Amino acid sequence: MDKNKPVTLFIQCLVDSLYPEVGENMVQVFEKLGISVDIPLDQTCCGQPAFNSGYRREATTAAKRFIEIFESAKIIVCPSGSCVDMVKHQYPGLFKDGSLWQNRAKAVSAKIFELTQYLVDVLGVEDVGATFNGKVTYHDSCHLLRNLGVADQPRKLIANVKDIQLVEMADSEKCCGFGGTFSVKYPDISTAILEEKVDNIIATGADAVVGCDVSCLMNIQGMLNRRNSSIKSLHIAQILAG
Amino acid sequence: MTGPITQEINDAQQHEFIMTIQKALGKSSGPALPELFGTAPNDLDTRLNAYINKSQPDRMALLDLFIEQAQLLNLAVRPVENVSRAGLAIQEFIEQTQPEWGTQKSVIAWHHPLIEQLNLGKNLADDITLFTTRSSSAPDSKERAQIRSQLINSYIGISAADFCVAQSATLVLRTRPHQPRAVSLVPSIHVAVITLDQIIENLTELYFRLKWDPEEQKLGLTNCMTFISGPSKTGDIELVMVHGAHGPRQMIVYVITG
Amino acid sequence: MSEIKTEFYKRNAAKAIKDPVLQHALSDVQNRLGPATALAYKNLPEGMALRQKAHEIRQFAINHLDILLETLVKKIRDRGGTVYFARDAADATSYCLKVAKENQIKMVVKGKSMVTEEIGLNKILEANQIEVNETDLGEYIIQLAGETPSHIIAPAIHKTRKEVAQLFTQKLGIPYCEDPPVLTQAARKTLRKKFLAADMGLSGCNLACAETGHITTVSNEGNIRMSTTMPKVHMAFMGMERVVARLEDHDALFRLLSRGAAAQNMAGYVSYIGGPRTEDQLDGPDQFHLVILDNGRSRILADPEFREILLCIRCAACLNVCPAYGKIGGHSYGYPYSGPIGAVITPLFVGVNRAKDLCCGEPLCGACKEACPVDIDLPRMLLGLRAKLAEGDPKWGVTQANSMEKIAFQIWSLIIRNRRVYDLALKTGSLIQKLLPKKNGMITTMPFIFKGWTQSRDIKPLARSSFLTQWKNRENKP
Repeated sequence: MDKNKPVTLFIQCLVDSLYPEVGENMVQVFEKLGISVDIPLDQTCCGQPAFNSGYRREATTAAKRFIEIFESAKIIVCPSGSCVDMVKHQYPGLFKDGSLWQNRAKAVSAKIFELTQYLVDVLGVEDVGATFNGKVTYHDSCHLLRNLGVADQPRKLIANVKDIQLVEMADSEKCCGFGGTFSVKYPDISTAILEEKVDNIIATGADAVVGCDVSCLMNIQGMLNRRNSSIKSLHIAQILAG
Repeated sequence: MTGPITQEINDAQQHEFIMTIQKALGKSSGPALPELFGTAPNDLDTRLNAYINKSQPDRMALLDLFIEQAQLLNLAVRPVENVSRAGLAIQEFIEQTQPEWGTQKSVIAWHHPLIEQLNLGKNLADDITLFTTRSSSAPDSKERAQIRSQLINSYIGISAADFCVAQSATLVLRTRPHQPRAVSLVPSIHVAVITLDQIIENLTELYFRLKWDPEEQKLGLTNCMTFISGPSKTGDIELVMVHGAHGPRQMIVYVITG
Repeated sequence: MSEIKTEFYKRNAAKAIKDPVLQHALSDVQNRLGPATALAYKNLPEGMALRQKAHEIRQFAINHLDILLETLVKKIRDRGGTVYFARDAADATSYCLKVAKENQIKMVVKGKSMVTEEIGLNKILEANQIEVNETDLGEYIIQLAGETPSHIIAPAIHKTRKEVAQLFTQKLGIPYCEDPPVLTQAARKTLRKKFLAADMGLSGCNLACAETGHITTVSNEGNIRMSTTMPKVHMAFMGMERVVARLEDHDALFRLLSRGAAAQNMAGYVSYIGGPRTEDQLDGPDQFHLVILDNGRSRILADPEFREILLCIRCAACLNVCPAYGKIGGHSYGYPYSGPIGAVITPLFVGVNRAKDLCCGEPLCGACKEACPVDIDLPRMLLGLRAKLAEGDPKWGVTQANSMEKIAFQIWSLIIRNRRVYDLALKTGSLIQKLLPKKNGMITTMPFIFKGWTQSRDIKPLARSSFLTQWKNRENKP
């Protein structure tokens, strides 16, 4: 694969609206690597919130829009494991077997990657020349880990960051309790699951928890803040851009 | 439900049930039976031969595997050179152990060629009663009640086995005349006696032999085949492992290696 | 029919979360069994491939269920066993009662059977003056306590040794002692009397073998062997899907079941039972009855989307890794089947609307699929159930669960379809959030349904300017 081929970024609705700094950092990482990126300006959402709540018709609307915007890209990279899982594994099933839309969906599915997946598996890069002075722990987001099989890639990238210290938390693979609308519709259960995750993070003594999915980080950060903790929640792009 | 379930009602109910399943599957009838249950493999004889005629080193290796797996289950395995040594060892064991309930020491053993060779009755101490489950060809309720009573009063049950699966330390017992199931179940202690050549490697070998060995096919699984992997146990209270739930709380297997 | 309390999922979940004893017990189960099972799978010589093989074996069996059942049944009957096909719970329990009355049964001993919980068998027998004794230690404990099981394999896992000690002192009159071996010994002594005096034994069926014509029962305690050997009548209950075609299919399945259920290589006891005592045998029941139960399974079978759930072998591996189950426990699910398997099958059995919280009330993390020894795609089916609730579904009798939510997502789909509209929505949101209380730059209270979030955590406000707006400006700079 040509290392200098332009990459198209799907930055995710949550990054776009709540954590633009993550988008910034992601662009900086690509700049460091000398890869020019294209970011379609009319992108919005992959449709996952609707899909997970059962609203497939509405999710399909989002899917079609996504496909229209991104199908001419050579490679699509996204800083969210759950969005990549949605596009890769759920889009084709939204359309009738053998239909033109399904073929278009499959084509897009084949060329979308999560950020760390892209860097390590596609580019073969494990060291982006970053520095981060501090102790971090890493949270394995569910869709990224189980549906995309990504676990080593972020850890390799973190390990090569200068001055960083990575300490694993207990049960890093356990869900943080976000689950999309689950977090507002079943708040007691979501909170109980999250409390265990946050306790595990605090127990590591880390300065920051790092993840590859802003939805999880948003959830974790929310409780850390509520508990007046000084622990930061950082997307891996924010570490790698430093 | 009123009235007896006649054969007709039963058949009709079964028919309806099966039809519902067929409708759900969207089919009317399936393929002929042999395709469902598999046909004999081409290398049947070779495989059977390899299973049945293991080399002595292989057999000893399986014994080692059995002993290793048995340790995890609190299952005692005692290799002995020959049947008379086994008899002596078992006799000694009986004399040294005490019953769980009460003081009367009764032992119940299968009527089985291998167990007969142990000659247990000959030298057992006077205060120990040995029952053997030899029966008539069609034991009536009185005979069965007597055996039942002997079983309940015995604190050691002695059986043989059909196979011993080394990988999971599992004894395989089929049910035959003169060999009640409860001997390996009701008494507090289960003592089993097997020979080295009865030890096989794994479930794959077991099922293969049961299914394809003409000798095993004659008997079949019988109406009750039991796998026993160690003494009874439970973890139902706070996941704390306790040996001795409802089945025997102690189990020993004597393996005659010579 | 078992009592259905699925409507109380949220309420019972909240109660469970506040119960420190239960929380400790659930953590313990999950911390011990979850990782141990994962390791046991890893150590299998065949690795992951064995689970796929098991999936195929079970799929094959389901696809040929009609022939397999007919084969199984004929062989059992040839050995003198009786087989009854029960349409539903009432049918099954009536049959049991009928046989019990015919044989003047006064006292029953029972091995653990989820199917008998499903059909509410104990209550029916007891209402007819038949004493029922649960013999699995966990089931025995909860029977004494008057409760229902909270876990498929370890029914009393929510009870501490202290609680069991108090229970046994109260109900059995033994001196107070918290030591599990002592408590187990007390149960052993008491239940032994029951085993030896019972006239009928009841069991479930783990996985029948069609080819040889046997049911199988699996336990560690020996209680099922006792219940199916000592009484003169044995009745086994079997969900119609619990069968494999070939004898060798058990190789993969028993090895996986034991690992999935308790991280063991093999369960302590496995019995193949194919009929009553033969004339020349000294012991064993004189009568063997097999009740094959539909009770909603054929409807599931008929739906290709959900047919896969019938592959389940009830090992509870999914319970041992589920983050939701791990906090709310089995009772929250309001039906005998809890955890991820319960979240799929209970709605399909009792009504999707009625049990809607079961299939919506978990984060869909996928740990269940990862742990399932038969590789069942539970998340796929949970999503499928959610889709039915979102739109309604005549085939399954599902009505749209939340029309307001539907409208909200319809509006949402209009917004995300058009970037300009989306930017407008963001702008509107930015204005509204000025009214919301904040601390250290984070919103502390959200309105309407979103306050579920802020009950325990803060949320970052919308950025002053979205990433794409900033990017657009950057690109447009000369």
